[in-house]
Amino acid sequence: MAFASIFVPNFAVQAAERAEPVLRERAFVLVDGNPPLCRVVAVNKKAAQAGIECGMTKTDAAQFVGAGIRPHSRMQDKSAHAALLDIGWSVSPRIEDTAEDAIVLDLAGSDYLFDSEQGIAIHLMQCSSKCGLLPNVAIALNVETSLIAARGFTGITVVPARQESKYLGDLPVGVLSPSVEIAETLNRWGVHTCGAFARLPVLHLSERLGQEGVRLHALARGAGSRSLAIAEQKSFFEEEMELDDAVEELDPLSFLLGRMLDQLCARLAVRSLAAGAIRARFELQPSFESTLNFRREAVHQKKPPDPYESKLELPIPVRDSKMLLKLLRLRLQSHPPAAPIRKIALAAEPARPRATQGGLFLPRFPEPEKLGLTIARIANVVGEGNIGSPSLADTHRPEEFHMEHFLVSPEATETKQNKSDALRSKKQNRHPKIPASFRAFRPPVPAQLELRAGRPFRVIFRGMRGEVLAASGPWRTSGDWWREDPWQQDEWDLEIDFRSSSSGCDASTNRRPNRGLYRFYYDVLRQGWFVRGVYD
Amino acid sequence: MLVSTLASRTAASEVCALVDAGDAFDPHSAETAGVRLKQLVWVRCRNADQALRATDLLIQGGGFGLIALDLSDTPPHVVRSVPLPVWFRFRRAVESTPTILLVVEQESNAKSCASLVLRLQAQETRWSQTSKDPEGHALPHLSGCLLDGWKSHAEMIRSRAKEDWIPPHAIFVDTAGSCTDFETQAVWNLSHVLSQHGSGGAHRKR
Repeated sequence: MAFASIFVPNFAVQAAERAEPVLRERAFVLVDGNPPLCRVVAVNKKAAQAGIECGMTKTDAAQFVGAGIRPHSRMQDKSAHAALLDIGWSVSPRIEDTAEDAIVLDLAGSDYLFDSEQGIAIHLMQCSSKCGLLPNVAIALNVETSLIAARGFTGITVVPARQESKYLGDLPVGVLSPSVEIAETLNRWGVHTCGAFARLPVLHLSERLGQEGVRLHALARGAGSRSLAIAEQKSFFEEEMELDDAVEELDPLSFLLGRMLDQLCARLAVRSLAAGAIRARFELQPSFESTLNFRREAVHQKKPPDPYESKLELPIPVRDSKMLLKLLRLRLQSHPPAAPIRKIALAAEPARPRATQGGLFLPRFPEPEKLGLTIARIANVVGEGNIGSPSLADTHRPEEFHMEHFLVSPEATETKQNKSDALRSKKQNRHPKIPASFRAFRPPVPAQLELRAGRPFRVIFRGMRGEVLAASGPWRTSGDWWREDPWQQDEWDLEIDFRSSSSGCDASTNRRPNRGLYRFYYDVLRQGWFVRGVYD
Repeated sequence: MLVSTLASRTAASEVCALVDAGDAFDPHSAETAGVRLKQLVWVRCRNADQALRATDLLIQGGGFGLIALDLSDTPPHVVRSVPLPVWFRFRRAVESTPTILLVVEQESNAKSCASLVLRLQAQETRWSQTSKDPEGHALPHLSGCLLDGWKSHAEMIRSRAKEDWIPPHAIFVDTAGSCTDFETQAVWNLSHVLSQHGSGGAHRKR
């Protein structure tokens, strides 16, 4: 049974580079603290080569030309640590959340999936690279040795069994994380490497350094053993970013959102999950800051605006960051935030990816991912509730239906046999009767009717005037009397001739029909005539 | 024609889209006529401009068996003002795909961009019980009179369909100018409705 440790060196710097990949190409430092005590807390390799050290003041670091300065962000550290955990869970469900920059995996059973321990380490490195981290990975037979090797060696290290002390021998004693006193004592003794420390007699060591020294001695020999404290598996996919300057335009905001979505999708992919929904939360800039009104009473009176929150429901789980960005942009275009944005939080609700099997004989259907984007684009044009699949309500009330979000189901409901039967029946009936369709007027058009002997004789509506040639009705319908909005109508189907009297054009379609079949109704409660629609 | 086309395509398990420029689609009668509403994307527009943009997005999205653009309620002068390149663009986008683009309008505006142009006209209406005086004036109707349907006349104005594309059950021959009459039947008169709800007297269902 082996254990793998993943250690991220210079964690704060890597977390910042993960959020802003362009920083990898230049020297930069992280600063923390309140001005004027703002100091450098982390430097990347290029900045260290330029001579910037941790502990310098921000002003001193700014003297170095070309060195970028970024505030140390706890949010970025949190996101990077969550990504590290996802990388571990992609291989094993049993991992220990050892530190912010290190985790340990129990590799028991993983050899069924990977050909060797080296293969596991390579897989972990590849997943880390996708998530924007460059860690050290070490595999050993015990937890402590793997941790020490990950801290001490760069890249991939596989410690063979019974060679732990040999591998750890050249590492500095600092990788054992001794206390300050023990480190000073070892330094006075001239013990600088784990190998030299391991050669010390343990009995004498215990007399001088106590139990802690004995423990460190065992670690230096590669003999430390302990069990893992298994971390509870979490499905928490959230990325946050705090902005130095508030963003107002959609294009720069899209750039930041795209980067965060890339990271989210990479983490989902590593865990073999997809996003079922995306939640965006923006903290907005208080308006009094933009008016430069710093008077004390103004600062206390105005409260910050409510955060902007939007949830993007996806028709099917998606892991394509570009598509998610397009959908998010469309949502922001139709529902823009009320103020500039100073903090962004994106969270993905994880879901199982869709698994469908294509077939040769399935009918045509749109790709669900593309369809979702198409529907979002059309919704931007016609409005959110004006596109979808109509669903009839379980009621007799006229015109009662609602629009549902359209979901495509690629399973064929008609077999090949049924298709040939349908074709055969069509051949036999060369002139089939086509069902009549009805075109509704929304809202119903007010009309004036002249009755004779209780039946419609002449009608006027929409600037047109006609005489009734034939009538069918009244067909009385009513319902929902127990509600506050009951309905009671007398419906008529009327064949109207518009030629017999001087008649204008239909005001809405600019059409002058000669004849038409219409459905009229008398609303008993509103006491008025209306035209529900026309038969087409 | 629009509803029957949607019914036949959705019955073949294809996903269809209806771009409704006048928001006139009636889902109740459509379902009774055989349209499978779960396979229909209904886009309810407020004007022709929205309808054309939505149609373009649907065609670019792809995968639909039928995209129907209903401009019946749009005034002809508005549809005439649609530039011809728009129709060309639509044609070019669908011609190499299995998608059918059906445009329903008061007059033919797509011109040479259309592969098939049909002119449809309603003719004689049929009632279950009619009575008129010798001058043709409608007499007081008898109770229980139902709208049975009407006869329609269809004329093929233009067709570019190749001979082997025309299925055996088509009601037209492939020459322009050919025409035919067909029956349109009220949905409450369809046999499957009666068998479902029971016959006996004149009754009407939506």
